[in-house]
Amino acid sequence: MRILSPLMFLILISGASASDLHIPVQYDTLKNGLRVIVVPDTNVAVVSCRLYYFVGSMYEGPGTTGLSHMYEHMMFKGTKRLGTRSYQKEVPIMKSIDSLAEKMEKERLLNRPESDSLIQVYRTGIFSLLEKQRNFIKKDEIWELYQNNGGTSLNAWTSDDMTAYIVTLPKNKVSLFYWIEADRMRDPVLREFYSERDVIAEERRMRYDNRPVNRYWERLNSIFYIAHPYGTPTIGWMSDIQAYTRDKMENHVRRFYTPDNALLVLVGNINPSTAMKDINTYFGSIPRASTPKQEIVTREPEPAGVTRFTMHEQAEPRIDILFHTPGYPHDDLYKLDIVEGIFSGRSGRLYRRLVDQEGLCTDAGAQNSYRIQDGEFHVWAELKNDTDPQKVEKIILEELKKAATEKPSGKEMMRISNEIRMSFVSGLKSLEGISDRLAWFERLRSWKDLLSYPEKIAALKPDEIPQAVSQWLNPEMMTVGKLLPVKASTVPTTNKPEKK
Amino acid sequence: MKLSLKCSAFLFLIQITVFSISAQKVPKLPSHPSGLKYDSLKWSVPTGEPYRLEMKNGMIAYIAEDSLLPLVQITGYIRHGSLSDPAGKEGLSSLLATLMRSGGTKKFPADTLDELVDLMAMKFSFSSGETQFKFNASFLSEYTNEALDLLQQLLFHPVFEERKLEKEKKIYLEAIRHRFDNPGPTLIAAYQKIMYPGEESSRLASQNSVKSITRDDLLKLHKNILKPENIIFSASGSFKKDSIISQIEAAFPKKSVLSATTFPPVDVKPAVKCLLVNKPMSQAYVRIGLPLFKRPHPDYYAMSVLNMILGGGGFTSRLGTKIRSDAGLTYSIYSHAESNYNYSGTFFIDFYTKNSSFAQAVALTIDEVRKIAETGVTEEELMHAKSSLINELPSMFRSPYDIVSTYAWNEYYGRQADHYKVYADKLKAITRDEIKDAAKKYLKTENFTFIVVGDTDALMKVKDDKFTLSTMECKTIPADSIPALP
Repeated sequence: MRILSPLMFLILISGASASDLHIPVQYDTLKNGLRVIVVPDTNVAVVSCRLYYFVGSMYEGPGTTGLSHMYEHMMFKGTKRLGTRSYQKEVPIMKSIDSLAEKMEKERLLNRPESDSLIQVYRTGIFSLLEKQRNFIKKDEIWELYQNNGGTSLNAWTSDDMTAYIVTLPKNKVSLFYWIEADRMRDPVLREFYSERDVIAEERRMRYDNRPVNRYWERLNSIFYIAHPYGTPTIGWMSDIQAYTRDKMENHVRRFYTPDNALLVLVGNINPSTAMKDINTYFGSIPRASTPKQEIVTREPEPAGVTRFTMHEQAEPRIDILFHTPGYPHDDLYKLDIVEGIFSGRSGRLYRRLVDQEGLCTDAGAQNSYRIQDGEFHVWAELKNDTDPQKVEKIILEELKKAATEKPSGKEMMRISNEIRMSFVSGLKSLEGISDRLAWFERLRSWKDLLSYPEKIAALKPDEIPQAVSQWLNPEMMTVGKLLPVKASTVPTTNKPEKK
Repeated sequence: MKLSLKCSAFLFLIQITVFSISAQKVPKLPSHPSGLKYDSLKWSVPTGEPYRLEMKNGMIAYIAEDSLLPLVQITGYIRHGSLSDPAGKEGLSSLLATLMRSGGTKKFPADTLDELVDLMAMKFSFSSGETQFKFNASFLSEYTNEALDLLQQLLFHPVFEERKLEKEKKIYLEAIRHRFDNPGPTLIAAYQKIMYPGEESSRLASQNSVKSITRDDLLKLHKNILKPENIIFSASGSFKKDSIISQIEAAFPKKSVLSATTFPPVDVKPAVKCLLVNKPMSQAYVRIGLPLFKRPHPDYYAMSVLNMILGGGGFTSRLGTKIRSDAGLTYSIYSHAESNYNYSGTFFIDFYTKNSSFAQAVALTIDEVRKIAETGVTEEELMHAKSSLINELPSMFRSPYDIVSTYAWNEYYGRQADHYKVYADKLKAITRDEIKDAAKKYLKTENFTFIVVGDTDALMKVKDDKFTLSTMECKTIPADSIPALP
């Protein structure tokens, strides 16, 4: 199971169409609000089956950060009919576990450490009840069903605004996907909740505590977004993870994992008419959420100046400069894609200057990330160990100034246009790639935007670009992150970044 | 070279059908997925033969037309690898790969080349593994002529400009400086050193070895390995097969005298039972390993299925179930039976866990290995493992690119042309007794070698009824001492 960073987003949407491509997209919405996209392709013997829920860490807050990611794990634990030998016999045991968990959480609120004897007593009690419950559990039945029936690319992922459950099946086995996913949507059971909570804590330790560059990223992102929940790490803060309860999770599930907040995408050897009929059969009777989803109203305030953040770690040094950009849709986002192209690649301005000419860095580039609310433009450089970061920052700002005052050359425009076409075509190589791209645009606004995107890019004129740079990439409103080598006198420590 | 650059008109045909779902009678669905009925699916593994040809210059190629997208994809395997790097020049093959892309060619200076490649959005890359030197190219089909011209230059006429060589060496030195920043790569490097002490497969590039590499070294190595007969090539995409064959034959060099590439022999002979690499962290990264064999080997398929059941099968494997799902001790645990055609590989188990649960996780892991060696596997586990492995086949051969690149790789490793045809039959024939025999023969827990990266002081204090490091004879080193191990 994976966590998608916001950076992945751009990769998914940086595309343009090429000539004479034909993608037979078929779209419908069930009466209960479930959206469906089917793209038939008879050249293959398989079907990529993906169910996207439009929920992620942007819908979480203090105490609930990471719940969407946790539920990504929990969905594999089964339902009232899957993963169980007797659901009825599991229920009272889960209630007893919840009662112990509630007591344990109360003790934790008194700031008792994990090693506290009382906490350990409750933990032992929870795990011994879990062992009892396991007499009635069929372990990993969902995985086994998919694997035994030829399921590949079986996985799930979570980002700040989407969670996806994915599998690619032989073309004759798609009904298995309908059965399992409809059942998971209708009757999920949060069994083995507290052992899985420990798994998430291990995942967090692995991804952030013990990977210096990720730890730096998490902190920088949380500083960059001061109001919007985009600043929340998708995996959640450790203290929140350790305080998850089944009750908290059930509230989260009821709010977001309903057909009116989901998109089902099938790409492969499948008859669209039959597929729609079957999807309606399996999913059509699942009710909508009892109360409609509340969208996030918080928006980032206008930046009020320069924010700086420095961490010293045993990691490749780097500098990152972040700017707030508008949410989707906005015409300037396309212009900023051109700016990204100007700065990126081996013949991009930053690589040429910082790596080739000055020899200060090992790599450099930029990334324009579209988001539903409050986007981000990111300029980055990986530094050599003895490079003065101030010097690199100065050069980056010089290049930004140049981009704000001079229009890109014709050659640059052609390079970027070709790059976007290539990226678009390459993204269509796999069934899964087609599925994710359509889903991302549907999440932003409409899957049709995937197709109008290249026209928007093609229509841009070089003299429109400097305006977008000067409006959005203002050095007086930037956030600057620096990951620098551990100082010689500093003893390496874990989880104690220096913050300036 | 004059390039014909054209901007294609964006013409994206799209067919949108909005369905109307009328009220319909909902059929009764089975109460469990086991009650689902599936249409039969006739699918067989495609053969590589229709795509294979030997070109006039001796190069083996697998070529397939695929007009679905306006794209061409090329992959080539060159018989070479870092195992052949001379002592004191570790890193040579890796630098060759980097400089073949970025060091310029006879026709194009490096910077011009970068501009041309980027202008047409072509993707060229070279990489060097232990026993394979690989290149990839992908480009929009409208640029096929230009791309083949550039590929020919990159492959056969690199000049390795001194300026670019110095730049790339500096970047390489930075990578060396930071190679042990993260625990994962640290664990792998330490494991190789301990399992293959003094062998070519455990050598690491160093500041000195990289600094010593010269342009002449690159030219000499390139001359030795870049011969058509030393390449297995695959191409698929929007082109006419005859036309692309003629273009490649015209662009690539004529047949030459080839001295066969051989790799040095490598022995697996664990140097110590336990190596602790000190790196203060909140988790311990653990690899437990055992010597295995070189392929082809009569026990490979039994080991492959055994591995799937023990830890290779993800969440449904025994280790995944016990250590991750039941005990919540790790996010990831898996086992791997290496498939190595050049020297004896190893069997290993990898996981990480918080420091306080380190001993418990190791004890549970060893227990599972012991159990499988003593009692074997169930019929249900065997069937599940076999079907999982066999069912992966259709996904391996989805597109013409999949077919030609898979068969090129297959031939590179000297496997029979019908390897994938007989693969399923070989797996199906494996019995529970063979699995048990393999487990007893290879999974001897008393022979385990332990590599642990983590806070060694903290880990020494952690105890379980069945495991503690404090009673083991362990060698402890800091991460930056790994290169100094023999």
